[in-house]
Amino acid sequence: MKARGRFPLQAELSGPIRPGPLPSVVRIPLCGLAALVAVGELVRAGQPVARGEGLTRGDAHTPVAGEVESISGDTLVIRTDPAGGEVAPAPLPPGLSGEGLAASLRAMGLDLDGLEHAALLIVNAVNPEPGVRAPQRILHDFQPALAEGVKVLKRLVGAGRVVLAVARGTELGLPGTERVEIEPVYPLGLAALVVRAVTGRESFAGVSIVDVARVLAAGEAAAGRPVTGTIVSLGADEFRLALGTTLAELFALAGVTPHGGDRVLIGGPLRGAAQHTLEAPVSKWDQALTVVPAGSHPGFGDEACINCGACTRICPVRIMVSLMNRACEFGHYDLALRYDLDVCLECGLCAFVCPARRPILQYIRLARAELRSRAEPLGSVP
Amino acid sequence: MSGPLFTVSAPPHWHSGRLSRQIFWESILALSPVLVMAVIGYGLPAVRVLALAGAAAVVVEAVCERLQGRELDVDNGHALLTGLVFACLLPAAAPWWLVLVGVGVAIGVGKHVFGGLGTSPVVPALLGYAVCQISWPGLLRYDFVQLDSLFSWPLADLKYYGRAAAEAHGYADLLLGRQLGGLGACQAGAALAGGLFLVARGIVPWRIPVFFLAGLAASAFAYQLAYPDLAADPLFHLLAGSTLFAAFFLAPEMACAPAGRAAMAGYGLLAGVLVMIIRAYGVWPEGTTFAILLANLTTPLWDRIRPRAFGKGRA
Ligand code: SF4
Ligand code: SF4
Repeated sequence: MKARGRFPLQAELSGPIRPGPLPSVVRIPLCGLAALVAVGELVRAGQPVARGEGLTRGDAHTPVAGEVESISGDTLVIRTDPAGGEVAPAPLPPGLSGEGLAASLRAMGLDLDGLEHAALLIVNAVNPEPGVRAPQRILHDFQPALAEGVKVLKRLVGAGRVVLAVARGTELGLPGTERVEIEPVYPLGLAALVVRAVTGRESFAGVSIVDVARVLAAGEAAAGRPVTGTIVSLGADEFRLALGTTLAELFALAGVTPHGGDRVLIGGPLRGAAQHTLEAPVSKWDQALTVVPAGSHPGFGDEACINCGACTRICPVRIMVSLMNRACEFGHYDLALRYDLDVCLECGLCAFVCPARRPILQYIRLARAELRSRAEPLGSVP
Repeated sequence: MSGPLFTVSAPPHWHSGRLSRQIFWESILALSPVLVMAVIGYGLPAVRVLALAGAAAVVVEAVCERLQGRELDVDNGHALLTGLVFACLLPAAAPWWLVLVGVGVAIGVGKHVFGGLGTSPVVPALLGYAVCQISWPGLLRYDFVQLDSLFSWPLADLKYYGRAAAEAHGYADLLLGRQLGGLGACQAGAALAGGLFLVARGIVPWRIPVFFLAGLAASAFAYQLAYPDLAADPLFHLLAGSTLFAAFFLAPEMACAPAGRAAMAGYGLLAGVLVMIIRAYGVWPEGTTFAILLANLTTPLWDRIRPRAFGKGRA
């Protein structure tokens, strides 16, 4: 199974969700946000500390009370004071809709990207990749809040119909939604492929898709609780973490000790982002932490492509990856676009199977970054 | 910041574990039944040709890589595999210099002139073979050079003595390699066994051998319908000479076969039909060599037929 790149997505859930550590400091990334507090200021748990810029970016709230220790570069650091106070929840006024609702949700910390006006709203409760069970767990544990979140988001996008995409074999549903079962095999839980499974069309037109974590956040927002935490898989367990908790503090609680040469990932093994330090914080919508021990998997090399075609055959969106990745490697980005670079889901399966261990996804991301920087006029900020 | 140094790279962070070198060494393993049967069938002369070709291929590869200032990667097994596959096409009585010329062309030209591993437009071993065949055709006539053999060359029998002579070869004999031909290529049963291993291991995509054999069988059947007196039956064509060897060890060569599913099917089918056309109308009885070389040249065209990428189909 695994050697051929077929990964089942559904897993047994372990005992109840475990609480994360009470972090001694929280680190809040400020990318796309403007700080609302100054160094030295005392903050209460649940207080907004940075304002989201643009039409989709939600504000950031501190999960802990304490003192703003530093605002440097793109990170805001708050030192926890366990005796500090808390902001009382202020439920959203019922019946809000349209731009007013969007603004209130952003003010509660929700990111609204992908939630455009659409006739169909899809709630994706399929685990995105192996080792990441947060969606499965959320659907299982938070039914009332999810039901509330569905109502709120349905109103937000103006959808006539809400579909819940669940792994085949799951009994669970949500009030106000139709169930559509998805084969729980990677990468069929990724948004584009879920949309295809639900609508039969390879297009996002007329569809908004949102994962259950954001539906849960919408439900909590309606009850007046801002986004201050996230649910992540680590090992066999799920943890409910305060945003900004460092990996070091979580790992200490969970008894995980990564060694030199291991890969420490925020996210799962196929799409996760490798971290160079355990001081890295957990952020909004993170779903998993993964440690891949050194030597357990061959790393990338720069061997010659043997033209075996395995990458092309495994690509879920029918890209001729064997040609496209070489166009990327040699800087022929327009050619790469003609070879469908634009539809890549970044699922990583091509590089997983490549016997020459080519860093294909790295080439793809480089090509995309180059094309983006070319498209932007000089001096503009991405 | 202190603490352990972690490995950082772009995702994915898992790998299937199947590496190029493993593919080539497993292919050599898959070839081993053929080699064993060749040695049983032809004795020391076969050992001589195999050993010479294998060793020469490794040396030529190392020299080519050194001359190009590349990192040596002969230990990945590809050169050895190419040398052995080439040797399998030769008569056991091939002179040593012919072996060396063929290996030199296969590795030096077929592989390295085009840029090394993965870049060959045609199967390197077949290029070596074709050059030898065009330059010294007599030396590759298995029936001319292998005078001490008890067996005869079934496809030549068919060509020169007709259907009855061909069908005098029992199918079991053909399978067991009791036929004259390339010292390994004529080991039909062993090639099938090794080939099934390659397919089971996912090294050879099944479509290429299956459509190759289907193309040959279908055109042999059509030919039989047209000329019931002349033509041998399709099963004969599948078992005689280098057909099965070509289906699993030549046609699917990664560098020069297409990658898409439909493309692989079309490519295999074309190669199979070409084999039958050459056997029926060509001057050379065997047919697989030039059929696959020709099919290789069409690979870039096959690669153009592919389903449209996600969301780009006709709406
Ligand atoms: S990462 Fe992109 S190119 Fe590679 S298999 Fe996935 S979708 Fe295809
Ligand atoms: S899987 Fe790797 S070696 Fe095979 S064709 Fe794709 S890039 Fe080349």
